[in-house]
Amino acid sequence: MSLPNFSPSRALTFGVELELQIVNTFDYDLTPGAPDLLRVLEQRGVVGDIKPEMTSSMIEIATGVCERVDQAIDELTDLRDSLVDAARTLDLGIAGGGTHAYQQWREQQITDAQRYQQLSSIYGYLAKQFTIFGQHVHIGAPSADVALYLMHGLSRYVPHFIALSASSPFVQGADTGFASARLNSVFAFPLSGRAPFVERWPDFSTYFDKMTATGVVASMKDFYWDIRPKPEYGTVEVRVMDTPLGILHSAHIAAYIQAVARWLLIERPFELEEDDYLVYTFNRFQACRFGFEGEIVHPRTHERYSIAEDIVATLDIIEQHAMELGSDKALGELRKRVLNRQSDASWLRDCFAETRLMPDMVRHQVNHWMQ
Amino acid sequence: MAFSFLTPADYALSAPLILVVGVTLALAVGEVFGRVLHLPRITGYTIGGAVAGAMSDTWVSSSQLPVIQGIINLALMVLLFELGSRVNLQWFRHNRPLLVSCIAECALSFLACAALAGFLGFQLAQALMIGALAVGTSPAVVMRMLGETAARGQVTQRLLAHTAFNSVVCFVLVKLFASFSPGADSWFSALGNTLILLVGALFSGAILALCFIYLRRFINLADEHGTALLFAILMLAFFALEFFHIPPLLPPLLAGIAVRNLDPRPLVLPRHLGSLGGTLVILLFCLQGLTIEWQHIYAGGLAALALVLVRAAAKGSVLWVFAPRSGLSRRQALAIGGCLTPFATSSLVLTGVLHQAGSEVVAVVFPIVLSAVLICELICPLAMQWSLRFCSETNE
Repeated sequence: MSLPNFSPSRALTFGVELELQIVNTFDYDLTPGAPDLLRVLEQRGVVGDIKPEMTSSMIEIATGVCERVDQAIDELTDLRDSLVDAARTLDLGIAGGGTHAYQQWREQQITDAQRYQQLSSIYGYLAKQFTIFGQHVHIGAPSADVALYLMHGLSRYVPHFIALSASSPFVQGADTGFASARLNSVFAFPLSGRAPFVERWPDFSTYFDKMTATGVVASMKDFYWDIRPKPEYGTVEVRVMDTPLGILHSAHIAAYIQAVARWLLIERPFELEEDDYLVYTFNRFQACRFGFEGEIVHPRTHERYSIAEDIVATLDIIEQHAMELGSDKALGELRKRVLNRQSDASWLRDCFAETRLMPDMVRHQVNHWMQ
Repeated sequence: MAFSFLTPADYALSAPLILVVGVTLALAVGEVFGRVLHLPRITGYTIGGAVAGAMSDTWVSSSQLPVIQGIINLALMVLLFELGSRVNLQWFRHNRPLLVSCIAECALSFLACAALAGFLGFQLAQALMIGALAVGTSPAVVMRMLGETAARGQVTQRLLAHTAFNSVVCFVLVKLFASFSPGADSWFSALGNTLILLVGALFSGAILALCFIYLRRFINLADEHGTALLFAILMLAFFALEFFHIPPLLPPLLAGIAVRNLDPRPLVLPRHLGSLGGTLVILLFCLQGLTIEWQHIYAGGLAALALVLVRAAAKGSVLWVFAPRSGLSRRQALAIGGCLTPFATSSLVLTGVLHQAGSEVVAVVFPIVLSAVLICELICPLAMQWSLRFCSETNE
């Protein structure tokens, strides 16, 4: 299969995808409710992008193409309300969060669809371990080369996106010590990490052809990169975020990415260099492990500073762009969270410390998302 | 006759040993069913127990009956509390068609089975009792099968809701119609008796629930120390209920429902309250097999088979009709219909509720009902296993 043509889209439009947890309301463990939810939504004629994911305890909702954060919030609210209504009919709970705190991966069921069954046969137990929940944000690009520029330019801010969304401190019943442990499951996939440093679409196409010739990949979906181009949509897709605990925060993070992208495209503040990636995995690890408290290294100056400081500094730089996009209020909310070091991961830890019962923590998680 | 070499003098000493041999036989058959045939173990326990029971009438001596009764009652209390703790009353508020389907399932199985009994020549009071007994699904079979198959999903949740609902209705109706028999002083006193039972069950269930809720604040009921305490409380409750002559069926079920719905914190307990509870539940099925009285079974005959089929059709058709409105697929409705087939009657018989009623009606309906119960004990776990697999609710 060859690389699809890049379908240009309107610059800086965006879309949000959220992978969500489906739990029972008894012990709040994951339950294979996706087929039931989808059937009820179909019976009710709910219009919206809601689809199954790798395992049947997961469900994905996605907005359409949005220009402003308010639009994304409205669409996410409508999707949430429909999903919540269907979930209540079925006595199910829906929760945000990058991981389910105590689900057992071996109990998960692979979704009955050809692609997922195929992935399961290729990746074995990794497919079931992929019962993790991420937020993906698509940013529209007017051309393929602009998409590649955005892909590499946004890579520098991957630690920000991870720290802002981190909501997966618990895995298999234990506190991992990480703010975002979800990405550790993604790293197990052979084609995860960062995209190769190519700046022109023909070069990217050549790379893709070489990879397909090896038989290792068949389509762009086989690359589990942190950020990847999506030629069919004419976007770059940022995939490093955990699903936040509430839809409002999800929309705010999308607005932050949109504003950073606008700043990058309009001001072109730095030239891209492959050496920028020398510190990429270190910085990403710091964000996953310590969240806002992580310490990142600047790829050019080699200075070290906390991720929280860097986010606040970036918020200052992109303020004007946020105002142009109508997202200054949303970014103001993010600033408050960063200054107060309020992350979803710390919310979960506080909740667990208070309840001392993981199912009760997940119950609060469900109430938070469904309210 | 097996063990005929024992003299009467030996028998007095050997009675517990004989019982243990019978139970061991039942357990062995259960294991063969589970491991070799990949069929439900509880069918094996019942068949093993029934065959052992048929080989000798000395398995269970009259002196052991109170002990066996105690074990069975305690096991059922564990299962009923567990069942109740899985029922979310808010669900009925959010899904009205589910509530209607629960009511309709009870009503139609009652009416259809009572009508069939009338057609078969039973008198009105007897037909009503048969209808009442046909309403309930066996909580013991349902809970054990769900545990054995580690089932989870929509069919499982609905099955639990329907079973809890129809068990409550069944227990109340049976008490009501048993009291309406000619032996009762008047219709008024019969209603009064039922009402007293209901109030007593509600009151004792509420006390039990409050104990649990209070204890949960201080003790982790999921670990073995907490579970042991839970058991102790259930045993205390059992003796208290016996003292006040309240059958130990409704109170633990209502207590479970109350705990689930009054305390928002998830109640995470080991299955059947841990290994002790699990052992009791397994013993329940073995002893159930051992205590089967075959003369009742022969007397029931084809009428019992008709009763089983009509009841299954009644429950299944209601689920089928309400499936789309309540958010189920037709496939799932069929599966739940299959899972609802085990009679709750065995619980009532084993806990002595029917005997306590002392009704002539009960004596007349025993053969057909017990025959139907045995058919269900053998077939229904298989139907449940198939139904749960049919809807991919087991992790196999």
